[in-house]
Amino acid sequence: MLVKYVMSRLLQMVLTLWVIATVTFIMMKAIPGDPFSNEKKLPEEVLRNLYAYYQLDDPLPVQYVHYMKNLVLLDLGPSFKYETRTINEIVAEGFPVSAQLGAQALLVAVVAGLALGVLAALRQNRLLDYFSMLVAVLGISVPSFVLAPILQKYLGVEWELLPVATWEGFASTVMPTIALAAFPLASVTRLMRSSMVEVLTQDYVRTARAKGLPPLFVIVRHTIRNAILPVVTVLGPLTVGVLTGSFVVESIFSIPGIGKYFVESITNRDYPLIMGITLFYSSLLIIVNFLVDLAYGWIDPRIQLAKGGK
Amino acid sequence: MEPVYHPRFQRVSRSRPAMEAIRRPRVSYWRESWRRLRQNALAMAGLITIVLIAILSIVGPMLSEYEYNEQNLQTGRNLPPSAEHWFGTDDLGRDVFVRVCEGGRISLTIGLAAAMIDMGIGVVYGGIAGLRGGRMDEVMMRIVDVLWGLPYLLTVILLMVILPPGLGTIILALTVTGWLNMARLVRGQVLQLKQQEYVLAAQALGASTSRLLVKHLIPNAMGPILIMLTLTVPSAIFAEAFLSFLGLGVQAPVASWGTMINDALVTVLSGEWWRLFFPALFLCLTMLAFNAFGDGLRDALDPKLRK
Repeated sequence: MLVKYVMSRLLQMVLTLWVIATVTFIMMKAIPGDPFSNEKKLPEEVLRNLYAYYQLDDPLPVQYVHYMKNLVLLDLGPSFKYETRTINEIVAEGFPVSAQLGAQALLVAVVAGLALGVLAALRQNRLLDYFSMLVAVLGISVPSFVLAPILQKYLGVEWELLPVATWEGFASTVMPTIALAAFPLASVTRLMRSSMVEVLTQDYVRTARAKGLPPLFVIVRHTIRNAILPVVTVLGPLTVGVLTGSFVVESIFSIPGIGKYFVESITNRDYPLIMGITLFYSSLLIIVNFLVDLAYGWIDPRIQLAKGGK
Repeated sequence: MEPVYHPRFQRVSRSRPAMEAIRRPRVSYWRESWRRLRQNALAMAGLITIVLIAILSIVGPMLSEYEYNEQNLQTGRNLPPSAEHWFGTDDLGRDVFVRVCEGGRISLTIGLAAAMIDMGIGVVYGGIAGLRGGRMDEVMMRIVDVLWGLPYLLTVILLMVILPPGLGTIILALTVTGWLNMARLVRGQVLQLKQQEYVLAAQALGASTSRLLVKHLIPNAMGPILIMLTLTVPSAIFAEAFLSFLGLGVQAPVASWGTMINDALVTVLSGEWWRLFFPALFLCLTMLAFNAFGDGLRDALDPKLRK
């Protein structure tokens, strides 16, 4: 059953990737111009050679097959603007930076969100509960591109606590991490609180308390362990949010990650780079979602994976 | 028994004939929900805020003598808020108040339009898939599953890069994959509801598929649909602001909260706080209001879900 489920999810994943790749290909061909007809006039022969080299003079179906073959071999092709570099190089350079920032933000969001959610549920309708709900509400309604300049203004410019826009050392990662973590933190807090509140009313929690187990033990072993499950399901969507959020956060704090290149490529209308990064990130997210789904079935044996997909 | 006098208890007056009556005035589902919603202070505050922002967006530009694209490069650049310019002016001498109102018009239009279109497509698609079932449902939901894998904002960005800029394009891009949520929700609801006896009865009387959907299934699934509709609006507004912030949304000189915030990023150093503050405030308030109202609506329409 599990094998069958994994296979069908894998197939679905490949189909989604194929849809994205095909759509990006059609879009690239639908836009007038190509990587070399852009600005400076190249001699006719050079142009023809370049076309032949990148196989841009082939009929479209041949180009499509070629493009797909390159994608399977993980080659995203050349960029318009950064003429000496391929998209692969740009991704390889920017991704470690983006990944570090994204991982930091996710870690902060999950750890702080879980803690706030648990405490809020244990102190329902008390000050701490209201505080964490305030954090949750603000995190959901204040977009990262509003939070980021506010942080810059106060923590950076006015009080001079943190560097405003560099990428050197841990201090420079603090503000971007906060800006990026705010939204997922709020979601995790909300979800964890409501999930905890529900589990706390379960019979087995009362039984555990009644037989005299230490309160902390009941909370950790019986409550948190069960309440944490719904949070695992949103890890996929949260990663998506952190990734898309990183576009604006990286460009606001001028962090040399993929997001900054992506925003620049949009401003420059550097289509191959836009498509390449979209494709790269889409694939990454699809794989993350797939892994989260699998992890969920593994963590919670009650979930039947075969039915979970529908 | 001793009568209880306590501020938290109140005496309910009883009249004998009313108690004996077989029928009482019926409290419909919607009336009951509205009563619950009205008691939820946060949700009502959200609703009132939405109405106020909508009124301001419509009336605001009429109150001011300035136009949203009217520049004053000589004397009017970066003026702080005053009686003349309520929210100050930007680096091109344009009135920030009028631009914030214009941005409100665009945000609300896009939010509402995208949510309505998502609902339209989702209800029809999910309704048909759920009602027909079998092979048709299988195929339709596989298509949804494949599209579901596409990251929402990335797809929207990709479409915006290709399509010519404009309000219609934004709405189109937001709805291309936005309806999937609604389709899944409606299908699930229909699958549940079609087990009910009244649906069987209607079928036995020869009701057509469309009649079943319109007369029986959709009205009964309206609660969850409305909740989803309300919660789609803030995410569409956020997506528009995000796109405009990236320079992919509405094009200059048209004002949008996202573009205004992006233009105001330079003020972090130069200190014209009003250029960032007002559009950011209105964007956050709108999202907050819709989220609060949507949450309240969920509690009111579906007390079982209340947590």
